[in-house]
Amino acid sequence: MQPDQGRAVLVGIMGRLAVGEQDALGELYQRTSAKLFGVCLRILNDREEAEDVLQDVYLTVWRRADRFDSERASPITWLATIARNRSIDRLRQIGRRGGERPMEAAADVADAGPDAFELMAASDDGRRLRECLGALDAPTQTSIASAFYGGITYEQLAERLRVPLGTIKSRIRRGLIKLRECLAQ
Amino acid sequence: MSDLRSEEVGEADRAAEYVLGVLGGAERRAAERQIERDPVFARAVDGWNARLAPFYEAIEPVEPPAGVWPRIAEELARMRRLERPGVSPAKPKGRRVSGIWQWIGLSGMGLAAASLAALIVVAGNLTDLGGMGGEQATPADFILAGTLASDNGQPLFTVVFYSEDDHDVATLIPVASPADGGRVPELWVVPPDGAAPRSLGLLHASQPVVLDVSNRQVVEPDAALAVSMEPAGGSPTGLPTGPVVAHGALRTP
Repeated sequence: MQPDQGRAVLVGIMGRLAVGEQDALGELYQRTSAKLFGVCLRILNDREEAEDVLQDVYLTVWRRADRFDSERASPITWLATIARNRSIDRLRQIGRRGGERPMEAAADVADAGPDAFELMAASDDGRRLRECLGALDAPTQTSIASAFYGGITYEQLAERLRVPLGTIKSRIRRGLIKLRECLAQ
Repeated sequence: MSDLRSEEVGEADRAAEYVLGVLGGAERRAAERQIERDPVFARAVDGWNARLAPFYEAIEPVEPPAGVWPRIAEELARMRRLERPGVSPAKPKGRRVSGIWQWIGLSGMGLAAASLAALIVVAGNLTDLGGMGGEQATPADFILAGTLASDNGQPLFTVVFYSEDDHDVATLIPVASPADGGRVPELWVVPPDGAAPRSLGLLHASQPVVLDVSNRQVVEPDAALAVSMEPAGGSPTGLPTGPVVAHGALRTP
């Protein structure tokens, strides 16, 4: 997907959705479902759950399309954010049901390191975020990336990275402050 | 290690933490409520969504299975069908309420349920509700739980159903009081097949209430619940007459 090239088209589709044009949802699905399914799958790590959430995501988009504001967010970011938030909500529900999953996903956390950042360099914003993450120490980079891609709580993060809860909290909070400063420059 | 100084970094940027996704379920919902009513916080969340958006670039697209879209299209068609029939322009209020009732029944099917802030409370949480300390509640005693949320997503009641000595009991814990002077909240179960809502009894706006709902066919898979505001004493007709202030789906844990 090439976000900038597709942006105008997606904004157009979102506008049609906002006025209740049903066909627009199919077009949106064609253009964005692979990306959003990738997001759901990344967070949930389970195809069946990801399919359920994806379905819910598009119905949510249909109902909330009138809240999309192209001045405030790019359409693909808005959509990916809904997909990720819905996935995280589902993850919280699954997590409450029992602790059967945490260790299985531990390997995934390790994958979220700097290698993944290579793919971010595709856009200017991606390059900048990558540079600013690169300015953080390695444990902080890993913690922030693991949190984003894992969609997991401070507590789970501490457990999986095998560091005390207080450490992970302060590491991430401090990292986020630095990140904001760096990105503002 | 520098981490020894960690306690000094106490100031949390809630918007950043919400966007990063490190908050637990209850804190997440609190943040979502804040987004709805606090424009400054909402802008901060927008800002962090934009800052971290490039992370999505590193996620490879994956083609979803062919069966997903037909399910979405079907559900969408059903939602749209329900918007149209029986619309009487002369009674916009009545239409709106009955539309919501139909829609709640529909969402009980599970497809649109997540937008209702449906919440699964598992046995461990039931333990907390019952104030039984750290001990696990017996899962067999527990049947269904959910959150009844208003249209803007704000949770109003947490509801838990369970069986006790052969009869079904519903416990409702108010989260926030629906503001409606003089009227009382009444709980309804909405069958998934579009049948008429059935009253489960009156609630208290500020206290947990335990309702004996035996013989009222509450524990029905895919049912939904809703709360409407009714005259003192409850709905005079046996069907909801007042505005719906909360609704939510039920799920088995």
